[in-house]
Parts: sequence; C-alpha cells; structure tokens
Amino acid sequence: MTAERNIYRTIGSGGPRVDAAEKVTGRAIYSTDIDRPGMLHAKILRSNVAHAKLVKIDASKARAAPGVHAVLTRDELDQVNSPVYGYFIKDQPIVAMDRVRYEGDTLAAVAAETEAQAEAALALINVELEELPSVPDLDAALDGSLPELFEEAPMGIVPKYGAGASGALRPIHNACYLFSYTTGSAAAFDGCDHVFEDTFEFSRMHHLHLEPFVTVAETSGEQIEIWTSGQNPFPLRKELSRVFGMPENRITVHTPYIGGGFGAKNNCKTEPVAILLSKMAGRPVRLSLTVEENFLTNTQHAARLIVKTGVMNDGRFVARESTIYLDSGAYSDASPLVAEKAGYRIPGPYRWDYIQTDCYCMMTNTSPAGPFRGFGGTQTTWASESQIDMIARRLDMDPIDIRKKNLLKLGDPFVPGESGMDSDLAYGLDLVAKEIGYGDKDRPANRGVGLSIGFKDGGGVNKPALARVKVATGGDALLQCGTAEIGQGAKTAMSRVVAEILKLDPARVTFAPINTDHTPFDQGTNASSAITVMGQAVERAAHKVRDEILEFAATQLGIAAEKLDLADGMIVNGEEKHPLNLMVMGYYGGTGFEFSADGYFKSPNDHEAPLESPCVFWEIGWGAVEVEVDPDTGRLTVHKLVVSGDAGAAIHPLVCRGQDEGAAVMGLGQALFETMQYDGTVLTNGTALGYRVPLASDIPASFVSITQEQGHGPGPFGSKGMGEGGMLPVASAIANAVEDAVSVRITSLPITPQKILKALREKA
Amino acid sequence: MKITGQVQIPSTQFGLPPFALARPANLDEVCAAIEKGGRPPVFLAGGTDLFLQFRSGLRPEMVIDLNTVAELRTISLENETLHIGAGARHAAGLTHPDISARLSRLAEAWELLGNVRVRGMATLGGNLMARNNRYEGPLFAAALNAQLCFQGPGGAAHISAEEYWTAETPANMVLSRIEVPLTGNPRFVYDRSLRPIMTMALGLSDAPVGGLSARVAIGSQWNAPQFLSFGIDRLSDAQANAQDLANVCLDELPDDLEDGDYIRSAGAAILARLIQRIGEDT
Amino acid sequence: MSSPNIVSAGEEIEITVTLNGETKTLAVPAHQVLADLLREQLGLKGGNVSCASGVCGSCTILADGEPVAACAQFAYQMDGKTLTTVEGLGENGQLSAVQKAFSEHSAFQCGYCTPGMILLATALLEQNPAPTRDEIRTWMSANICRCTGYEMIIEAVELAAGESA
Repeated sequence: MTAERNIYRTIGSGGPRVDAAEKVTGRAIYSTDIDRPGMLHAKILRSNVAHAKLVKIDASKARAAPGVHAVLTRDELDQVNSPVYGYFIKDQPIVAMDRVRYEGDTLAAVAAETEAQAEAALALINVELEELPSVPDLDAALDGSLPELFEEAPMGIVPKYGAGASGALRPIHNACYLFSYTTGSAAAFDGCDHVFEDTFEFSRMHHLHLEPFVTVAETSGEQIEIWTSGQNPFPLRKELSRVFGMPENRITVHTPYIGGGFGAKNNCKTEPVAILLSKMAGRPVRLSLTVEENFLTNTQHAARLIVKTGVMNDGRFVARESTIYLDSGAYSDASPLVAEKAGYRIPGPYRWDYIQTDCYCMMTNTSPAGPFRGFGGTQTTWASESQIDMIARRLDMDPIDIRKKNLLKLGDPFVPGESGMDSDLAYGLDLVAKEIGYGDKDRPANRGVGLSIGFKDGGGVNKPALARVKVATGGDALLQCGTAEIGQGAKTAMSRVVAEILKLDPARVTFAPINTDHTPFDQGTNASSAITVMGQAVERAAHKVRDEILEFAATQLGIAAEKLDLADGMIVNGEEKHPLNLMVMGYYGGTGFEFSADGYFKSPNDHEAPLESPCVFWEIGWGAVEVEVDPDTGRLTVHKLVVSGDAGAAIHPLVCRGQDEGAAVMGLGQALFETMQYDGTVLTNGTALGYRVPLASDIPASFVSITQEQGHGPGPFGSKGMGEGGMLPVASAIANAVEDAVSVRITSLPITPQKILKALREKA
Repeated sequence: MKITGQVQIPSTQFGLPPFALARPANLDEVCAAIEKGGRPPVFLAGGTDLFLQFRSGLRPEMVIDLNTVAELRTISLENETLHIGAGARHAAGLTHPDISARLSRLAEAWELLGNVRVRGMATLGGNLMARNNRYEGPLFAAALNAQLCFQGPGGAAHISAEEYWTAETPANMVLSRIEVPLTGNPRFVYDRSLRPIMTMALGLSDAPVGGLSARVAIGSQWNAPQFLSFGIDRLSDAQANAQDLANVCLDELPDDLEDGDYIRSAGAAILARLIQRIGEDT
Repeated sequence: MSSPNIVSAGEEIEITVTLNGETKTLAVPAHQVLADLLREQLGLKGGNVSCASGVCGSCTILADGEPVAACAQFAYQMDGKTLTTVEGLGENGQLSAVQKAFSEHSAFQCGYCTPGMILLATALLEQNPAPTRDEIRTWMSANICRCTGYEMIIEAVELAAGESA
C-alpha cells in the first residue's frame, strides 16, 4: 500500500530538508541566539519549599545591587491586567502572590547587566515562607485530610463538548478538572463472561528539549516584541494580551527555530517575566532557563489508570470502565486538555459496546505537568495494550488474535459520532509482527516478543489554520504559515506541498519567518497536526494562487484558464511556454507584481462528535519488540525494536522515518529507565548528569522503523501526521515481551531490573 | 542550583565573578598557591566536576590550575608499584603501556568510563576527589587496594582509596598521585552491565600469608560505594563455589541501602560471575 | 618554595589560539568560559549551549582535534591550541564530508545538537577514517540528541566515512 509516488515531482522524493544548510553549518538561529542592543540578563529566584505561605518578600537590597535594572516581586504585579495565566484554568501566577506550591516555584526575578550581577542580586532578596503540609503524589492528592493547593477556585472554563463527553472544574478534593466520556449502557457488563480490573502506574519524564525555555522581550511604551522558543505564537499572543491588558496588534511574537519542544513549549513560560522586567527596566531582557530550571517548569503527567474490562470467552471486547488520575503537579497548565485526551483514548482502536471513562487532574506540590508527546495517549496505550495481553493470556488466547478479533476496521468510527479509522490497523499489526518474527517457536529460554498498537486522535481540537502563498514576478514562492519548525520537518513538508502544486523546484519556495504581525493565524504546532490541518490550508492557498496566476495568464493570452498550466515559473499552453515574469512585467511594468492567496482549514464543528468536531485523522503507532531477561539479575535487554507509523503519503520519507525513530527512542527511555525521581516533593535527579536519557549506546542491536503509506489521510496527497505515534507502543510492547519471556507482568514504569527480579522471586 | 535555606538560585559558570588564577609549574608551587589562596583550596584539572560545583554555587576566590603541573600527569612503574599522577587524563591512563601490560582488564574497564569527551579531559584524581556516587574511579581504586597520596604546604599524607570515601579530605592538600601495588599478582575485573543501578569491581591479589585477598567495590547511583572483602585459599575452590561465596559476601552489606534487597540479590549473581571470570588474565 | 604564577581576579591573560585556521591573540580574564568567548565575544553562534554541565555535548568544539565541551572549559585554557568550531568546517563555501552526509541523510531534526554532533563525528573520522558501526556508536554516545533516536546520525557518519574513503 504505497502512494503512487511516481506521479509527483517532489512529494516522496529524497533530498535535503529545507533547513539542512542552516542546521549543518550552525547558521540556524534559535531564540538563544537573539541579541538585542542594551539587552539585560534575567534570573529567577525559586522556592526551596514545596508548599508554603509567602509571608514576606523584601527585595529592597536587590534593587540597590550593582547592575540591577529591575526587580519583580508580587509588589509589582499591579502593573499587569491579570497576574495569573493558564489554559482552561488561570491559576499560575507570574511570580508567587500568596503562596508557593512546589520546590522551584517562582518567587521573584531580577534583570541586570550581567548574569553574575543578576545572581548576586537574587541572593539579596529576603524571603520568609511558612511551610504548609505538602501533597507529594497522587495518593496524597486523593487524601482528603491534606490541604488543597487551591483553596479558592481560580478562574476557569469548561469547553463545550459533544455527544457523551463532559467536563467539570474542581470535581473532588485537590482535583482541578474532570473529563468524562460515556457511550453505550453499563448493563453491558452483566452479559460478560469475564470482568478484569487492573491498575497501571505511568511514570513522569521531562522533555529535555536541548534548547531551554528562553525569551528575549523588548518593550517600548505601547509595544511588546518578543523572540521566544514557543510552539504556539498566536495563542501565546492572545494570553499575553490578556495578562498585560494590551491589544493583540501591539504584541509581536517572533518564532525562530525551536531547539526541541515535545510539547513543553506552549503558552506562557518565560514570556511574562521577561516582558514585565523589560517594561520595568526600559531595556530588552533575556530570560534563559538553566537545565535544572527546565525540570521545574514543565513535565509529562505521571498517572494511575484503573481499567475494568469485560470480555466474552471467545475474546470479544464488550465493556470498559476506566478511572484515570493524572498527576498535574502544582499548576493546571494543559492538564484539562491532557485529561480530555487520556479520557478519550483509553478504549484504544477497538470495538466496544460500552465505554465509561473518568479522568481526573490531581494537584500535587511538584513541577507543573503539561503537554508531552503522546498527550495522554502514552499513558492510555501503556495501560490498555498491557491489559489486552494480560486478558489474552488469562483466556489462553494469542495476544495477536485477541487484537485482530476486536480491532476497528478501515472506515469504522472510533466511537459514535466520530470519524472513521483511516489506517488498516490489522495490516500494520501484521507488518510489525512479521518483522519481529512473531510466532517463531525457536526462541531461546528467557526471550520473548511483545506487540502493541499505540493509538491517539491526531489533528488537534478547535484548530483553525490559515496560510498565505505569494508568488513573485518570476514565479518564486513565499509561504507564510505559523507552523513552527521544532525539528519535525514542518518547513520542509509545507514547502513541498507548495512546490508540488505550483510545479516548482522546492528550492524556489521560501518559508517566511514566523512573526505574528505578518504570518496568518495558526492555533499551534501540536497534536501531530501540521500536515493534516495547516497542510490543508497551505494546499488551498497554493491552489488559489495558482488559479489567480492562471486567470491572469488567461486574460493575457486570450486562452481559457483551464487549458493552461503553471510549471517552473512558466505558463504552459500545450507545447508553448510563456515565462511568467515577462507576462507580469508586460502588464504591470518593470516594477513587477506579486500574486497572493490565502487558504483556510478547520475541521467543522459537529455536536454529534464527542469533542465537538470529528477527529481529523488517527495516529497509530504499531510496535513490536524482542527482549531477553537475565533471571539472576532481572536485567532486560531489548534485542530488537520495530516501530511503524502510517504517513498516509510520506511528503519527505526521511523526515517521516526520523519522527517514528525519535519518538520510539523516547518511548524506549521511558520504558526502561528514564524518569523524574521524586523523594516526596524533592526532585532528586533534576540535573543533566542525574537525569538519564537514551544515548546512541542505548539503541537496540536491531532497530527497524517502517514508514507505511496506506494513502487514506486527509492531508495533502493523502498524508497523515506523525511524531507521536512511534512513542506510544514501546513500553507496553516491552512489558508484553517480558511476560512472554519469563511470565511476569510489570504494571508500572519504568520496567526495571529491580521490578523484574522481585517479580521473578515472588513467582518462585 | 544553589540552595540557601528556603530559596534556590540558578547558578551557572557564566555567572562566575572574577577569581585569582594560580598556574603552578610544579608541586612545590602548588603548595605555595594553597598557602596563598582560599579555604578549602579549589583545583582545576579536567574541570568536569569543578564546573558542576560552579552550578551548585561555588564561587572561589582563587582557582589553582593543575594542568600546568607536568609531574601530576606522569604515570610510571617503580618497585612494583604503579604511580598514576592524579592529573593524568583517563585517556592517557587507559592506554599507558604499563597499565595495559599489568592490568589489561583495568584498561578495558577504564575505556568504558564516561565518554570520549570526558576521557580526553577528565582525570583520575578529579574522579576520586569528587566523591560522586555515580563516578567509577573510586571502585577501581578500592578494588586494587590503591593508596591516595596527598601533598600540601604542611607535608604529605596518604590514605587508602577505600578509607578516603568516608574520611575528611586532608586539609589544604592536593591529591598528587594514586599508587597501585602490583606485588601479589593483582587481578581485576569489572561489571557495569547494570549501570547506573549497580556496578562492581573485583580485585584479587596474593595474600602475604598465603591464599588470596579479594576486594569488592560496589557502586550504585543512590548509595555511597560499598567495600567488601574476603579471603580464599585457592581460586579454583572459589570458582567452584562462586555463588555461595558471593552470597555470603553480599550479606555483609548494611541494611539501610537504597535498593538494598536488589543490590544484595543481583549483586551476588554479578559477584559470582566476576569470580568465575577473574582467573582468565589480568 | 618558588612562587607560582598568579593572575589576579579580573586581570586579563593573553592567549594565542588558531581558530578555524586563523591565528589570533586574545586577552581573556581567567573566569571567562570558552563558550562565552566563542559565542558572545567572537560572534560564533553556531555551537549551542544546552545543559552547560559538560554532559550533553551540544557545545562540542574541537581542541587540537579532540572533542571538548566548550561550556566546561575556561577560554584561557585554550592557549596554544588549534580550535575548530562548526563555522570552520568545509572549504570555499563547500560543506565538509560530514556536513554533507548529515544534510543528505537528514541526520538532524531540531538541529540544536547538530553542530556538536558534526564536530564529534569529524574528530572520529580524523582519528579513525574507517570505523566500524560499533565504534561509531560508542564514540557518538558522547553527545545527546533528543530528536532523532540516533540511527540516522550513525548512518550519516558511515556515509561520510564512505565518501572520504
């Protein structure tokens, strides 16, 4: 199943990415490279107490310190319209007002001529914190006798949901949000031959994007201008508009190359502090966080998933009731959105008669949790795909057979009101199973294989995308669109869509820098949505501008536009080729002209769909793994890892491959060892040396990624998004393989030698 | 991060205020610099650990650069003792002909330490002085019954690698060399397959009164290194009863170790394997 | 006891380095970090600072052909050395073999680790022009990449080794 690539000029071909030259020469500019005349350096003073009342903060000595131009404490917050920000819930203060809620919470900030002066000034700020009992983890959050992190309700909204879905603010003690979904009838459980309930624990990672959170802010009177490492410049601008009480057309957000985001770099992070310091100092301010501070800014959600599944003797899935608790950390950030998605994805790509899910966002005195590659789908795949194997073994069925029996088919809606599956799920499963040698009986002792299907809706929710394509006199194109290049190859993919439609060499398409003053609106670089959402806007813009050019040519040549084509900057009429530039100058004169057209795409609203809009596409990550367990030490060796995603149509094959492999290795790290280690409320490994991430030496001896092109995607040329799918199946595939190898089941992450050895001893 | 009471300040090497820099040419001048500079003295060798200390808030008045002291980098074999200069880079140590010849398994293990960047810059001395649970130098040194030799304005001192871990650093002194005894046909073998959960070094040498002395050094990310020892009559006997021997040895570990059950259990399996392997060669 | 050379706090030290083929004499205070000299003072912003802890290798440069973390060295320590930053690779506007391989094989994504990775690979191929895949993997484990999952980086290094063969 491959797209018919031979009919395309550019789509599916090789060649360097459009950002290759800049990145291999070091010429690529990131927010960390921005230098503005008179720029000051900012540093943040952070709490070393997890939960406390901020009794006193006195920065008078800091204000007088050498080189200091501005000091920000709660006393300066009257300068803003809203001192708090957030997504659904505006609960995070720019600097602490009445209390601090985690070790690392922002107490104050200083802008000075040098970093050394800023640091020295921080040490002069007097702080008095009165400790409160702390809530270190989910169990504590669920303990009604411990204090709430938010005694009063912060301003918050519940969005409109469609059939079966609902949300609530502050549903229970220390929870900021609840997302629920239901379809079918609970009576379905009564008819089941078996009901199994299992609990799964999911760990917490940090994105460890190599470029830190960083903002350079320059303000002047009525204007704010920022360069920031952020994935969603327009929603950021809107939130900053609210926070600072300034209209959006007075705020300019520049988005240079982003040195990795993986979800962390959304909405307000370093921007409010940098902007406020700049306003106070009257100078540009650079706030760049240290790696230690990055851990204290945004993380993945740890989770507990309690999954109750009813099945028939023959393995048919009937009913699933799930309760999910997400550890949201100290501030809500994107937690309600992650709850929506975790709550939505837990059924997996299978048929059910009854689904009931509650997903709670619990507050704890730890780093705030937010968007992280997988966005709830990582948590749900871990639980669901582990449990499916457990159920198969309990029923004495082959795990691949029980999946195939229940998998949704191409075109089947995920749930009532939803769009249909746009990948043949069984086909992909067979592909990875074959590659891993599933069913080979000749495996040595202590070796096993496991399969998993990672599943998530892709394309985002409420995502309008606008793009503009301009074509200059000679036929060279400029693409203006707000999809940020975070490494995923967005610039390349979008440029190729334009190049294909305008029949241009991709080198003749320039992706314009992102600047919210000039770039058309985009809701954000997230949800693996770029090619399917912005891609359609770009496609429409390119078609429109092509039509305009051909209409113009038609009037110039006196030939119907339908008979003409545009290719390589030429108007083509059968055998005749007319250079566009001559035609343009012939009409407009020597100063030339620029054709310009906009394209818009948004998935239409539909109240029948649970999330108010049918899902744009389904992102699937098939995984298979072969492991070996050392029964004396519990040591786990992954001999072979296979991952596969369906690109629909691969706009740039190596880009697709890179997305699957990068995501899979993140999943591998989470499965085996990568985790933020907390001792109560103290993060004990929040340093570069202490936090282990996968290195080249951690890659399995055999690592295969298969980029499928089944061709059913809604994006240009049949494409689908990639970037998260590859991460989803790895952990559960490994847990499944461990059970296959040595008959023990690990239900918490990471799957460590300690857990395996303990389980082996207990079994014996 | 620099932690002061109730607050944390993100400190970095880029925020260092100016410091005086001493660049001694020999050990005598190092001692003179120690006398002149701040307390405790701050040394720069490879810089790996020092820069991490800057990030924890260290702001020295004076830094004593040991890279200009050639005698700290020498490695020599004298009177059946390996003298490894504390300033020798890992890369130099693991390729030194005397080390490759007499302790090839040490050279092999040493080559796995860190990564190519770290091995090119960092020093064995710095690795030992850091007292970082994650660093492997202390395990090598203890298993080989090494002595750490310090020098200062007030004279010299030495302390065994094992004792150094819990002892106070000799005040106002610089670690000048690590001495590894090669009498008694020392053998060495190392396992880092479970790093960072646990790594283990086993050193064996002929005991003066007959039989063999075994020294075990166990590193783990959340505990200080654990040092164990036992005697055996004949290596072949030990290898025939490796698992029992290992179980007994690991039982000596204190009860309050983080991950203690695992370290004892898996550690015994690893030690048994090391006992089997150690006969092969040096 | 002879007296050691002591430079007082803030006093500048004169150093001579050959940087990207050009010999320069510079005056640097002892506390100036090498990455700061290169990026802020000399405007060579190609190399990126990430963990600033000597761990991730994003800031890797070559000093006398050896890969070194620029965030974990002082500038003065480079006296007498030959330094190569990413800006010094390639000749006459042409990419070096390693740069070309990374480009053609898309062995990068966000690009933040890329200059350091390319320099790390360059050092390998200078010292070992025909490395095995295992040797490449071991050497390249010195630097962190969060985006690619490493396979395509290793393949690019193999490609570059093949090209130069």
